[in-house]
Amino acid sequence: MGLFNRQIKKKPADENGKPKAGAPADGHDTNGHDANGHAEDVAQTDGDTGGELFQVQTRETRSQRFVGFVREKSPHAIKELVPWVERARSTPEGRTEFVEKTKEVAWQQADNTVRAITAGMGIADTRAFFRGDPAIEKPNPRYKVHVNAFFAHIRPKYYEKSSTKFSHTWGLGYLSFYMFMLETITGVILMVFYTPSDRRAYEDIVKIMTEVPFGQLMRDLHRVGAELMVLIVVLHMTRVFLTGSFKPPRTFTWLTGVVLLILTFALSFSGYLLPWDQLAYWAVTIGTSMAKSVPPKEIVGYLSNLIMRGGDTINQNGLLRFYLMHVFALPALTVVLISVHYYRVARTHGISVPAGEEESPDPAVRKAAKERIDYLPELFTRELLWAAIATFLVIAYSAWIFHAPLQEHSDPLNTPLHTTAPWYFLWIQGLLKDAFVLPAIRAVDYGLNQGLIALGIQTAEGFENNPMVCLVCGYDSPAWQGVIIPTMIIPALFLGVPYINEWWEKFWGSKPSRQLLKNRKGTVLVAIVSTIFMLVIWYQGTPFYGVTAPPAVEIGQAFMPAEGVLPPVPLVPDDWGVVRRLGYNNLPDGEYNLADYAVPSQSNTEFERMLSAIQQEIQRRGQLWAEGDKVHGLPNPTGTFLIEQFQQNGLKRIELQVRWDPKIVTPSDNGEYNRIIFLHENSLYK
Amino acid sequence: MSVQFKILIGILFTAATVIVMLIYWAAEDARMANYTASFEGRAIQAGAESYELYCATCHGEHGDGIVGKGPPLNRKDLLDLKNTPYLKAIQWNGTTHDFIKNTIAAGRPQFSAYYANEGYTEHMPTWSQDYGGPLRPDQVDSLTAFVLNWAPGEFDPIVAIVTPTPGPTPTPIPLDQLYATIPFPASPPSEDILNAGKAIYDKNCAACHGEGLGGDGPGATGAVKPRNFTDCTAMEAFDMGQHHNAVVNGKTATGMPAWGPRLSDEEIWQVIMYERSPCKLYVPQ
Repeated sequence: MGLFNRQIKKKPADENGKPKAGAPADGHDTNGHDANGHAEDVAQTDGDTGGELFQVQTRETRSQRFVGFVREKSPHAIKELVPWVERARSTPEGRTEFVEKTKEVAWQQADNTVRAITAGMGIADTRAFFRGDPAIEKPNPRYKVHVNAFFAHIRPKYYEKSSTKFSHTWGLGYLSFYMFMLETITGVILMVFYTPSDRRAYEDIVKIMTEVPFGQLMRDLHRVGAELMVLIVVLHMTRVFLTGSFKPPRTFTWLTGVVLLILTFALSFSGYLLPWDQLAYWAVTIGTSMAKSVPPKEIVGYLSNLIMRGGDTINQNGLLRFYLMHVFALPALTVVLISVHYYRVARTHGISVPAGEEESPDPAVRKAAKERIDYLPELFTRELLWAAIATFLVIAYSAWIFHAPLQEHSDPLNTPLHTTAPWYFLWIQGLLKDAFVLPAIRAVDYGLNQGLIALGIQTAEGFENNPMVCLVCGYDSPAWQGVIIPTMIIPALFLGVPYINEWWEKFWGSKPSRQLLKNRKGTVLVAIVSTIFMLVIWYQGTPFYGVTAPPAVEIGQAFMPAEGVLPPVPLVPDDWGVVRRLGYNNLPDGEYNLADYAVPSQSNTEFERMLSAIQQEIQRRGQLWAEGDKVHGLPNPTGTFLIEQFQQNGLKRIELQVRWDPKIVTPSDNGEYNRIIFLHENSLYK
Repeated sequence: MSVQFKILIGILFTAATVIVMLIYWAAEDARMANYTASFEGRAIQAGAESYELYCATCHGEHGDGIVGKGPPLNRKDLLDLKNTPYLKAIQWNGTTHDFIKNTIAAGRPQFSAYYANEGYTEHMPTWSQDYGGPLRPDQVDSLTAFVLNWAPGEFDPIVAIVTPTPGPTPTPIPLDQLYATIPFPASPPSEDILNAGKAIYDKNCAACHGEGLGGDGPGATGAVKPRNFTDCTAMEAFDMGQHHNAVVNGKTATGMPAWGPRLSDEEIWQVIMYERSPCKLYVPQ
């Protein structure tokens, strides 16, 4: 009760009961710390001695008793109206005054209520706030909000105008936090329906998709949010680098940002395992296999693998560990790091203003850049607008375009062809293929051996086996490429950036500048070279580089993959191949000799066009063989496509048979390969 | 951008989000039904792959059986889910799904009498990892889904199915002679005998016949309900001779086991007396 009355009760009143005109509202009134006033007021009202209480029952009329009761019990606002009630009863002018006074008190009541809700802004100012007008009271009531309200106190009162330009920040820091919140909300909802058990996890994901209303949407949102979060955090970092915002006084903020980048990767990667399908199982197997190679292998590698997976391979223990990391340890750490990161941005140094304006020779430009822009309402409404747009986009995208992949149940005994790490880890997978260091060492080995052979110290036969000159023998590729180089890239590219930059400036004795192409050429050069390098090794991580399955297997994989194939880019759904996409109803039973479909014609059905595509791929392999490509080609390949009704209740067996000349590719080659899939009437693969 | 404009656009986007959610909601039930069918279909596909790999060598490519190796699975008597003639013949009380799943998971430790004339050389091995086999629980589930997906009778059974010949029916003993075998004075039985009967009953019979003799124990899941000993009309038609026979020899079609080999004569009579106590249908005086 007292909450809404504080301001009224303390207003000094003159002898007529009228409040003093224009008594200023004391700032302290509204902030809720003045609870004693209430007690004093009450004491004054019924502060009479006990002797008079005796006479109350006998002397007062009913209306007097009513007024007395009202005086005693009613809120202060009503009490304030009591003298006006009496005046209204005695004179006609009093009635008008009473109405006016009632309006005034009601307004005050409403105003106080609004102030309590908005933590300091009255009705008039709230209205001005939503109209975008400047604050109407002094001191600025919108600043008061930052003092009184918890969530607003996290935000600064104002920003420097240029630092909030969209073309400067692209809103990426805000968006990464938005994605973190999206992940938290959808993640908690998904947690309700999920059990981290190797027996139930996959089944629970299927249940989320089939039995939980909006379950699939939540899963899709969680996946889209995760991919976007990685993407946006990386972009945010790029932006900070490009605008030179990592430089003092923001170096520590940059460091916390690097830790947040690693945490984002870890969060995303630990969530990868939870669906417990083939994709999850093998992507995480690849990812954690690097832990085995941490030198010294026998102790650290062995232990870190054991601790991460809870066994030699990923099993129930590993699933539970990844789950706990994903839902508890990593989010908790991330919240702490986000708090530190944000606190420094909000309270210590603010968002940087564009370097060109900050370092402008024109003082007017420098001054204009630092002009204040209030958080309320300008930036607050902007953030809400972005949240609304982002929410719309992610929901529409997950509802109609993107669906999170779910492959078959994980099978530790069966590795799918072309298993890859998630796209943001492809660069490490690319490193593991070791396209640079290993060939270099081999070349050195080769040179040394040729030298020794030329000198007659060594025979050509002992070439590979001589430890004296076998550098490759002492080179542990997984340890270097999977662990040492990636862990060095993080400090070198990210942690080191501010310090490399500083060192560079000192070295050349140049005046520090945040502008991209001014006295920062060294860091920019390092950045460009590293980016190109990262793109190259990222490409090497994809199945397009350096992985050669037998050609016939590749033909089967192209049209009827064992599992949904995930493209090496974010935000694109997986693809189960053209045969499954064509669907049960478009696959007529029969045996098709693919040679009959070599030339597609306009009148062909979609099915026949697909047969033509397979035949063309088979012919291409034959062509490659004829041209001398013994790795990707096949000698005289032919193909047969078989569709059999396997069960009357809607199950077809689809077989692609590839035949080629036996015993040519290798002596034991039998020249045949069959890829078999089953397709049920109701299965959806689109 | 003015504050008002931002608020307006924000409201429009929020409304658009709500509309998207409403459209999604309208289609959600149909989507869930489609996805349920889709994942059932995918389970059948996975089951078909396992079947080709593990089962087809004995049960035939299309579940039509291989003489001397494995019986046909794709058969009317097994897959007739409504009448379940096969399950009745082998006295299985659960569902066809459970029967197939359990058989795949745990195998067949001994040859089925149903196929006595087949002369199989191998037992059905255990397949679930739970029992030392190679298949994960989800693979057993999908194999079960695959077997159940055969249209019943798609292939005619290629072996003749034999129904087990029932053993010789015991000739009923005349009641007078039966009464004479009761090893204690039983008209009426003493309180001690009823208590002893209750102890044996609670240990052996209450699971199906219920603690209160009402025929409603937690094990009463089969099609034929266990006898309700408190139903006196039915009990009057059920004389001591039938009662004794049912306890000693069991009732093969209903899941009632034969207690003759497990309990002594005295214990059997104690139980019978306890079971007949609600209606006081003891030996006539």
